[in-house]
Amino acid sequence: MNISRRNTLKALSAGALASGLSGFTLPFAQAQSAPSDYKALVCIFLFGGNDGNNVIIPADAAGYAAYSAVRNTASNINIAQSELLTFRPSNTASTYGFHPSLSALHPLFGDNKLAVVANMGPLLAPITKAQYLAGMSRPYQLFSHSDQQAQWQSLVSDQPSRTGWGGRLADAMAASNGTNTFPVLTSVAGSALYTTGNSQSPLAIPSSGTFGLSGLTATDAMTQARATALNTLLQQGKDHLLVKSAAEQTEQAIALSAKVNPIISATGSSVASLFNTTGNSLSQQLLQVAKLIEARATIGLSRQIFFVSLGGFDTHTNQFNTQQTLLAQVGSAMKSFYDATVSLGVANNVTAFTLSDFARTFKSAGTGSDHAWGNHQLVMGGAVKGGTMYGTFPNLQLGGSDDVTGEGRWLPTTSVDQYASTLATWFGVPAAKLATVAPNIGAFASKNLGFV
Amino acid sequence: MRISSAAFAIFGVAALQTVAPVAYAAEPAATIVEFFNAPFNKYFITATPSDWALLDQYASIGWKRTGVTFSALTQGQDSNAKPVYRFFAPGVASHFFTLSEADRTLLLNTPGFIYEGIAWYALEPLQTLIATNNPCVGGSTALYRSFNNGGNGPANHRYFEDFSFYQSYAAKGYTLEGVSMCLPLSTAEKRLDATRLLKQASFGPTPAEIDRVTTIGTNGWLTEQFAANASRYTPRAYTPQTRPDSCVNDTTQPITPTSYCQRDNYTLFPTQLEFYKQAITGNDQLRQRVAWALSQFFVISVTDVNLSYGMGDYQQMLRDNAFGNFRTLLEKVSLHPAMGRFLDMANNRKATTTGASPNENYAREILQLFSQGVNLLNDDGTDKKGPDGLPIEAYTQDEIKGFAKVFTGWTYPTLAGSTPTAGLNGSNLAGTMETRETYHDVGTKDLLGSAVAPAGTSTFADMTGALDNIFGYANVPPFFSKFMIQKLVTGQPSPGYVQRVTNVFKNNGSGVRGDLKAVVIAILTDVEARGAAKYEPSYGHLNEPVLMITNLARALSAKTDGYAFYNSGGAMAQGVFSAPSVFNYYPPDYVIASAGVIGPEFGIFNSTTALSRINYAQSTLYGSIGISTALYGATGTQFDWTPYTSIASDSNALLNRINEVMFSGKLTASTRAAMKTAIDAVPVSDPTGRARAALYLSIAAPEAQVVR
Repeated sequence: MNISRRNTLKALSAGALASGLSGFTLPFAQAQSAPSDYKALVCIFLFGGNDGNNVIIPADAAGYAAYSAVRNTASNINIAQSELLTFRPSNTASTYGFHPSLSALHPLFGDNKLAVVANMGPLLAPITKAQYLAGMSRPYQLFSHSDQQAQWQSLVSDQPSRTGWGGRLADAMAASNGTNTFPVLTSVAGSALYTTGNSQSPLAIPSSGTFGLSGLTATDAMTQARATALNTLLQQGKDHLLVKSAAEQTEQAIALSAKVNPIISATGSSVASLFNTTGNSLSQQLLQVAKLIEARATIGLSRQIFFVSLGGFDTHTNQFNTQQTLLAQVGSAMKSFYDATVSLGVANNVTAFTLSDFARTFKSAGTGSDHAWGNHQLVMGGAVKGGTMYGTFPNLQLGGSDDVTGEGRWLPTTSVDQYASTLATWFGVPAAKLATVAPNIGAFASKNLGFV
Repeated sequence: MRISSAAFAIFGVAALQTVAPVAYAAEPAATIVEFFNAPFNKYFITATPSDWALLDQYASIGWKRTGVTFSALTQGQDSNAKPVYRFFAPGVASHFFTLSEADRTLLLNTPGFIYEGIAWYALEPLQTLIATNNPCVGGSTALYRSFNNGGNGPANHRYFEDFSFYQSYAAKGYTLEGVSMCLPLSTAEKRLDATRLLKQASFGPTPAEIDRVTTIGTNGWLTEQFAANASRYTPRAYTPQTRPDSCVNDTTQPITPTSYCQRDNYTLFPTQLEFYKQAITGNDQLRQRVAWALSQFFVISVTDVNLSYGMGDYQQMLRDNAFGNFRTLLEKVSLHPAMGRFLDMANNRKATTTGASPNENYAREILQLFSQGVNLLNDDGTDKKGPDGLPIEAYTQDEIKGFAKVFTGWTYPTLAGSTPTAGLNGSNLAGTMETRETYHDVGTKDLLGSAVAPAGTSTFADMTGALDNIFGYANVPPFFSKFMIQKLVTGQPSPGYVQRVTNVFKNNGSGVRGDLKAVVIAILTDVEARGAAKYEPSYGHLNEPVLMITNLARALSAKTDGYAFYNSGGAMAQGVFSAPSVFNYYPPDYVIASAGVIGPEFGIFNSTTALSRINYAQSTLYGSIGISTALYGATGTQFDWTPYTSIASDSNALLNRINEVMFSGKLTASTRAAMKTAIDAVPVSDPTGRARAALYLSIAAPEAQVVR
């Protein structure tokens, strides 16, 4: 029996923390301390299409009048002016308000740890309303959930992409992690295009509970023979591509679980008490991320990318109540996470940001709204140049200069490519390699929006 | 020298001569084994055991068995069989096999060929090119021949029984030369085809059902299945959308049928329970399996429909229409109040004076997910391309707006015993939605293509016209056919396969479009579904979690009340009727990035779910499944271990059975050896323990979990 086989068995059978011991050809670096320039990005995807029009609302008299001209009380999706959590971005004369459910996040804007990027969306190139109406330069399948999710996650808007920009960002930064083969990407929200790279593939961990094989810990000969057989059979039949793919993922999962399970199952996390995970899946996921960041010395990576998500934002009906509930979860979870990074001393090393399918029509569809385009997103972290609104807030007039269909579907004035490039640059991607992350960035004048 | 192309031209002509079709039943006595030599880039097949022994000794110079074998006849086995002549061309060190007398005569007189004798016996094909008909008589299967043209090394042929594998060689620069001969299927191969059918078309083979399907054949089984009565979800009474405070779970023992009011009415528990119970034990396997596929096409989910009376009613509707017509089904789906709630067509109103537009949710998804897909398709399921080389969008935002207006004016069914009013009803998730003309948009509406629904049309007539418009559109047959092939047979079907099923969707042979029964038959009897072993390296699909669960239960011929299973899929990202959204658990076009192939089920296969699946086998096989005290009338779950324990003392015999039931015959020698060691580690005195180890490892084995 060779060394790697024996160690694999150890990982299989003991579920032990097997740093540097685990088999399956995944040698983990024996890092004893956190890398000096540790950085992590956390992608928070709000599935279904979060209605940004009710996340950031103009709060001064003229702005709110424009808002309430369409989203009046009869629209059933009106947020009262008195409810707004107001803020004045450092770079605007106007006052805006957050949705009242974001009370946990509101102070971070004032503390300059939270920024808003306004009216952003997938684009092939800067586009005018006239060009849109003429059918020119349109990203494919606007307003479709699956396609727009893919475009926010991939930055490819002329055809389907097999990789996401988180994955390609991991590809670009892989070298900075040296020989450590622990995945750069970790998803706490299952499989996602965002986390798929050309060479990097993500680790998916559960949002709660243990992560590992059960029932193989006994040391009797029968159990050990079964564990050995399991190890062997994952090496076979790989001339079939589906067999190979399943085998490799399973193999990686077994090897990594030995390392990760002690981290996420530990009861001693210093940050767990900061999170209120009751009925809040996003909070639960971000707690898992915080635990992994807490254990960054054990994992030994200098760069990590995380993916978490919350669903339910497809509010065609009953939007008022649904979004209220969901945004309260988002606010609480993000604030807890920020506090955790402060507590761990890595607030300046960790940047979290939101993505979503699309914004929703400004015009009501009864008690909700339909699929739209340009949307507002939030960026949070100690390195963020917060307290500022980046990009350009749209003209809220139906059929106006920013509305492409008459129902309040805003033509984005900032592209997701620029958003991603800004984050990638902070993460350490040199200008010359930006195009590997954001292939279409050359179509836009600014490669750095400056929010981090 | 290269093998003369003239020889092949003559071969083609000779092979076109056909023999009268007869059902073929003789048991083949010869086995053809395929070898490959990577350094020489050369395939070689032989039925001669001394050749095998020699080549096995030549592993050091590259000869290796590919794992591919075919059955063949020996001399005197059958009077209809013809000898297959073996020639050797020393110039290219390659062999050539033919049953054509004309080829033989030609090659005997062609310099550079050495006649080596009769290789085996085979049957003459009815035709050499394949379109929709099988070129070989029942019980035999075509052997297709490809030729590399000498383009990637020395001239060499590769032979295939697997049609899709054969076709995939065109992309490697091989010439596809057609059917060279027909080979008999052995009983073992027929059994594996029966097993494959049961994996494709049922919730998994039971040992007894494999025997039966082998006896009655594919057509016999399909006939039986179409005649079987549909299993039924127990109809449940209406419950208000908001749970009354009095409706709670009372765990006081002994429980009554109404003890668990909350669970039984305000979760999907009863529906999920019956889903598993009936999937595992029901006789209408094909109907249930097709309905399960349809439930992933016409998706509704617990996210908005968490009341069992509504979910059960909707799922029953899918079962009842599984072998009906697509147009009928589309209407029943559209008018079902559970769908009405899920995608907001219920109580969708025309534009209001206060500025609300008709809701676009159902309009968009009926086009994107329930009928067209996003891009214009060819009949073979591939994208049509525009002048710019890019796909062409199948509909426009104006058309979505048109359909949104069409689908206004519908409300939930009036409660039984109540008098209908002119207003909109509150939520009622069973039955059929009702029209309310007041709320219907009576303007003109853009439909697909250049069609326009005229002004002044009633709610019902507008709906009918719009569904006819959708159903008539050219995208529907390939879009739906490809989806169903993916769900039942293979995640990456060849364009030819999609085309053949599309043809049947368009016309069932009697001029009917959308005959779902005919579509199901076409999918399951296609040459890419049936016949000898399949070797194309992307063929088949990963057993999705629900099917993995039912496969294991049926391998053990489980009797169950469903309680042990109802919630099992959740940890593997596939809780029954609990997709995250209308986009199902995973997309049909999910690409496995590392492999570059489509593997839909891999959309929910990741490091977390990979381990959950194996842990499921651990808890099911090694844990204790008791009789629940939380289920009124519980009977628990009983496994029949006998087919395994009765032979468990002989680990080879046990592995033979496991190979058939769980591995579709794809158990490799090394996996077999590893499993044998694990089985033999369990004392013979513990036959159940031996069976447990074997079944556990087959759930863990990707070789078994990829259905081929």
